[in-house]
This record gives sequence, C-alpha cells and structure tokens, in this order.
Amino acid sequence: MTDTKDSAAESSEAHSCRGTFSMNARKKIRLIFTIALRDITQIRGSGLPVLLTLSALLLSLIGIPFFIYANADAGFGGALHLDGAWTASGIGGVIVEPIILTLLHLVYAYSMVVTMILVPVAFSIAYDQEIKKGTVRTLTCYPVGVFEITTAKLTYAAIMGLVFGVPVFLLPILGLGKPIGDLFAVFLVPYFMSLLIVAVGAFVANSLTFATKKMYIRPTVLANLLVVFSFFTTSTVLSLLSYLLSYASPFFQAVGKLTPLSLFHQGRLLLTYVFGGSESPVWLVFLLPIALLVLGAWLSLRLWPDIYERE
Amino acid sequence: MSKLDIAIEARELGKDFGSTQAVKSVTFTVNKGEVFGFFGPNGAGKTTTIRLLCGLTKPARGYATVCGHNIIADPTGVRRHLTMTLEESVFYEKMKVGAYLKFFAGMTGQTSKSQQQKIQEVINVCELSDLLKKRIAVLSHGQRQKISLARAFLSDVPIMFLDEPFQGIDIVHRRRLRDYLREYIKKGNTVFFTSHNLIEAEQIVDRFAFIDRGAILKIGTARELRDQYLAPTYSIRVSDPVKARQVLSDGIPVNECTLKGEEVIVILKNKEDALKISSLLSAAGVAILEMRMVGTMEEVFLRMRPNTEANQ
Repeated sequence: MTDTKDSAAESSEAHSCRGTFSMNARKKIRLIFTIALRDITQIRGSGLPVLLTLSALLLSLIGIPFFIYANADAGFGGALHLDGAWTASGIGGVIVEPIILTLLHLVYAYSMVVTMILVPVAFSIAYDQEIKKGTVRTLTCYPVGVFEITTAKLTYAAIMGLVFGVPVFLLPILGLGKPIGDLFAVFLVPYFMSLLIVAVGAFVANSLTFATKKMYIRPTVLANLLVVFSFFTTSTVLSLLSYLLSYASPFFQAVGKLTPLSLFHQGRLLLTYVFGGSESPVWLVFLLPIALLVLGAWLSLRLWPDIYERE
Repeated sequence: MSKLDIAIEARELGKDFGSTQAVKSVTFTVNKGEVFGFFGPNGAGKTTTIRLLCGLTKPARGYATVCGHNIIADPTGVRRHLTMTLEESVFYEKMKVGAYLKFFAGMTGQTSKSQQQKIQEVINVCELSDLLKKRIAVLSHGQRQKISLARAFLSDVPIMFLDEPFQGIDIVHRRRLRDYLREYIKKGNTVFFTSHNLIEAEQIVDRFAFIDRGAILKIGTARELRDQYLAPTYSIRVSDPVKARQVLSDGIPVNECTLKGEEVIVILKNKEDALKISSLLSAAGVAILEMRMVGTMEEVFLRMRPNTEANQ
C-alpha cells in the first residue's frame, strides 16, 4: 500500500516537474516570439531594414536578368538549356572538370546565394542593433537570458529570410516552368542549411563566451564566418575556383577535404537524391551541427546576461 | 521574522571586477511590504548589488534569495518575480510610446486583458496620454524617466527594484508616483529603492541601508539612525521665543539653545529630556505651535561614514 502511495507520489511529482518544465518552456517561447515580433513590426515604424532590402534588390537585379536571358533560346549563345530534368548531366554542355553542371546546380546555387546572404544579414541586423544600442539591458529586466535573446534574433532571421527570400528566389525561377513544389524544395533546403549554420555559429560563439568568460567573438561574426566557410567548401565552388585559378589548385584540393563538412554541399546532395540523381548526402554529417546546436543552447542557458556589458 | 515574511535575503554577497571589490560582502534582509532604501555615494556598490539581486551578474561570493528563489541557481527565473528600473535607461528610440508600453506589457506574461488594464493604469499614473503617439527619441529626460517607470509598473510582481527612479521628474509627478508606490506597498509588495536624494527618500523609505566602498555601514529606520548618530536637536515654534529660550536653558541641561526667527533650536545633552520640553514651556505659559526633530538622513550618513568632514 505504501509502495503504491510512494509510486503515486513520485508519479505525481514527476508529472508536476514535467508540467512546470512545459509551462516554463511555453513562457520562454512566448517571450522569444514577443521579442521577434517587436523586431518585425519595427518595419512599420522605421522603414524597411535598409541592408536587408538592398541585399534583396541586388539579388533580384542579378537573378531576374540572368534567368530570363539564360532561358531564352539564344541565351549565352544557346549554350544553356534550362528545360531539362533537374539532374540531367550537363546543361547545354557546360562542363567544368570534374563537375558536370546540372540544372539543379544552377538553381541551387542561386537559392544558396539568396539564403546565405539574407538569413545572416537579418540575424546580424537584429542582434547587433540590440547589443550596440544597449537595449538588450532593458530586455534582461525580464526573465530573458542569453539563450532567449539569441533564439529571438534567430527567429527574426528565419522569418525575414522567408519573407524576403521567397520572392527574390521565385521571381526569376518561375519562368523555368518547373513544378512549384520542386521550386520550394530547392529554396527550402539551402534556406534551412543557412539557418542551421547561423544558429550553430551563434550558439557556438555563446559557448566560447561561456568557456572564456568574455565575448571574444560575437555570435554574428562566427555565424557569418561559418556561412562563408560552408559556401567556399562546396565541391562546385571549389572546382570552379580551382578551374579559374589553376595556379592555386593544390590549395583548393587541400581545402576540398573539408567539403563533406559543408552543409550547403550536403544540401545539394540531398536534393540530388530527392530528385532521383546518383548522389546522396552523408547523413551523419547533419548530426555534427545538431550536436553543436544542442550543446551551445545548453551552455547559453547557463550564461549570465552581463556578457553583453563586458563585451 | 519567519522566512515567509522575507522578500529579499542577502548573505555575504560580493562581486569583484578584476582586482576591484565592487561589493565586498553585504548581508541584509528586506521584509515583505516595506520600502527598503539603499543609499551611498557614487561607486559604493548600490547598482552592482541590485544587479546581483536581479540575477543579472554572477556573485563572486555569498548568496541571495529573492521571493525564495536562489539567484545563483535560477537567475533568469528570479526575474519572473520582480521588476526594475535602471539607473541609465536605454530605449528603443524609434518606437512610439504606446507601442513601447504594449511591447513590454507583452513581456510581463499577463493575459491580454490584464495587459490592457495595466497599460491604461500606468498611462494614468505616469500621465502619459499626451505622449502615446510620440517617438521616444523626441522626449525630454523627465518624460523618458516616466516611461522607464511606466515600463516597470506594467509588471504584476511582488518586488520592485527602483534605481534613481525620480531623477528628472517634476515635483507634481513625483508626488503622484510616490502615492502609487505607497498603494503598491499596501498590497504587501516590496520596493528596493536607491537614490542620491535622501531628503526625498525619507518620505517613502521604511528602512535605510547605507553602503560605502562595497560594505554596509548601517541598517535601520530613520528614527533609529537619527537617535544613534545625531545629537537630540529640536526646532520648536512657540508663541514667545525669547521666554522659551530662557525657560529651556534654565530648566534642562542643553548643549546649545538659540533663536532662529520665531523658532527656538535646542540641542539637548540627554535625549530623554525631550519629554520635559512641553511641560516646562506649558508651565511658563508659552504655547508650542510646532515641534520637530532636526537632522536629515544626509547628516546621519555623513556622520556614520568614516573619514568624512562631518566626523573630523
């Protein structure tokens, strides 16, 4: 009887702990969205975020003419034919050894550039403004710590990346006549990769701050560095650079050993796999950023908000 | 005093910045339902103590609880039970006042209906209705200070930390805000208050703590501290000051008895003799119009502080 009572009490206590945990989690999520929403609604108050708008315009100005011209019969001397299958080898015979470009390469590259610019720019705008202007000190008057602030800024970046990224990506690409589902898949994979890289950069920077007790590297800086690293270590970019700068090809070949770690590279392999191509990603590679993300988030929860003042 | 009656408890709490001990070791308790004043010169450790108690910076030693929550174990959680104003408030300059209040009401975790009620309440208390559509960037120092207070008042929590809350606010509004704080205290809530204006603080603070160079010098009520540090000095307004001066000088042992307009200023040798003043004057046919103890908390602080002019 006593055992039953004890187990009932334990079960009730465990239930209560879970209840408290889920209530705290809900409160945290609500606070994170309140902060992200404030950042977004400031678009009305102070005009569109200039850097984000300029980036989007610039990308559109390059993307729209390129795809219109490339899709025309005489575009690039008729060298590009963008009406084939996603993974058909060669688009009009454009071959850069050892890469044989496919339509997926081209569209994925555009999508990658769009997201790898817009997502980190949005994160940097939101995060740096809060820190540089010192308004983060007012936020920390509430039950908000380093984890919540970083996550709120990432949430802002995720939302703004979609709002600005989807039209910038779709407008030039719609003319290809591909199914809209395919197009969204080609957008969403590099979008999530960009978001994952930025999140890993931000939380790893927080982890370094936890270890060193001082913010030697800002989350925005490390996030941007990781995005650049992931871009330049894709096999396509490395091969193109190696082709264009043949004198430095041994260097690019050495860097190429890091290619499997590039999330953008793995993202393209994932899409190739989905579209029935011959390549597939190294699934285990996805575990590394996720593990870093979890560790970084856990350590961010243990950071004191005064890191923003000691910076 | 049971644990349940304690709002804040600090035990040997300390904080270092490099080799500097900003707060050496402070120990005190703040009871529920009181205004606890924390005073000291610039750099004494007031703001650092507040930041420690609010879970904003990690203590180098000691511990503290706020509403029973350990500030080291759950620094973020502690801030669910308190609200605060900062000495130097930082604002979202481009936001309009109305949107600013709405945003921070959203941060308090109250229901939408409660948020609306609170917003309306603080607009009335801080008299912000004319400012709601203005951007914070265009507001004066005093108006910004009111917005900072309004933000703090939006939270429905049992403890309020106010660091120099009335700086730059005009007399009329100060009175209104003090009345609001009194109402807040009546509900059993607690205020932790710092200011450089000790004269004003006397109107609201229940217990005073004086800190200097990171250490607490003394804690007590205004009366306790005056009794301990100031000579028993009284200012008495009477119907016949000259006669009163003579009567008091002859009737009780005094250190000094002087005339100041219609008032007699008397410094007693023994504070117990204060009770004899009214009977002596009545017997001599001198009417007492007003009698008050003289000596501000500023003087108290200067006397308790070692190596100051007042003590030399």
